[in-house]
Amino acid sequence: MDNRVYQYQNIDGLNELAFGAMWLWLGLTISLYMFFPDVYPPLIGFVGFGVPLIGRGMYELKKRLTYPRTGYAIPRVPRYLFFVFAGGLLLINTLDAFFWDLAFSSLWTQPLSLGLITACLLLWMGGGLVRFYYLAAAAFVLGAGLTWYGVDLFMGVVLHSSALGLLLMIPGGVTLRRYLKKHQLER
Amino acid sequence: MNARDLTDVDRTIHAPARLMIMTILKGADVDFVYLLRETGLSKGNLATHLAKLEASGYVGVHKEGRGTLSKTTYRMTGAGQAAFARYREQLQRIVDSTAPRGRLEPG
Repeated sequence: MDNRVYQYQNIDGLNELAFGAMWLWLGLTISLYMFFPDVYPPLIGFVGFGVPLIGRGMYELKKRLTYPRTGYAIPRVPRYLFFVFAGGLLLINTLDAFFWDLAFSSLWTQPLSLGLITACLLLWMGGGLVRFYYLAAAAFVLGAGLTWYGVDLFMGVVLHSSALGLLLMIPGGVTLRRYLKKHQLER
Repeated sequence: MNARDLTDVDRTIHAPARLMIMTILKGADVDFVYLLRETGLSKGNLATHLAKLEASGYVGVHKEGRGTLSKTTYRMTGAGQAAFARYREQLQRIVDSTAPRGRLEPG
């Protein structure tokens, strides 16, 4: 029953669209760094601003498209998970601060690690939906492929983020179109 | 386990329609449209059962926003969670007590 609510979050494809848009945004911002390394630092705040903005946009779309058609359902997440998530972010930021140079030099491995992390996230998001297994596999293969080819440091991350963004947005768009067609709004 | 224990189960939850609603609300906060779709009940029927659960203090209603985009969410309360857990334990005990003892030979 709980799994059904998780699956319901993906009934309209908006999650994939938003997740894909976030990856595209990341690719865009990193490519900004590649082309304008001097102006990038002040842009970091702007970069961070994009992600919650995309999240908010998705929520507004759900409010207007999904909730009136098939209803609102949000799984009740145990409170400790918020602490686990916050702790994880804190750990990553702390490690980043202390080992910045090391992290910077090992950027070539990032498509692989990003692919792995994204695959895990997609499996969690999908709640057992078949299309998410394919997406997770594609995300991992994409990351592994780019690492294997040994693409240039930043270019690898830019290519990976952009391709992943498109990879998610295309099925997301198709799912949204099908959903809107199937669930017409009652007048 | 006494057969009369069956009469002790919480009847507010035990009715099939309300059991469906409680099962959904156990893991999620949902609105009326979602419940309507998931339970297959009619609007009037669902509203009646929700009102009964609300009156028992098992379900809370939360309203958010105004106008056409306002949202009314149904959420299981603490009392509802406790009652549902109790109900599950009771049912489990009844089911366990009806399990055959020893090995049954076929035929």
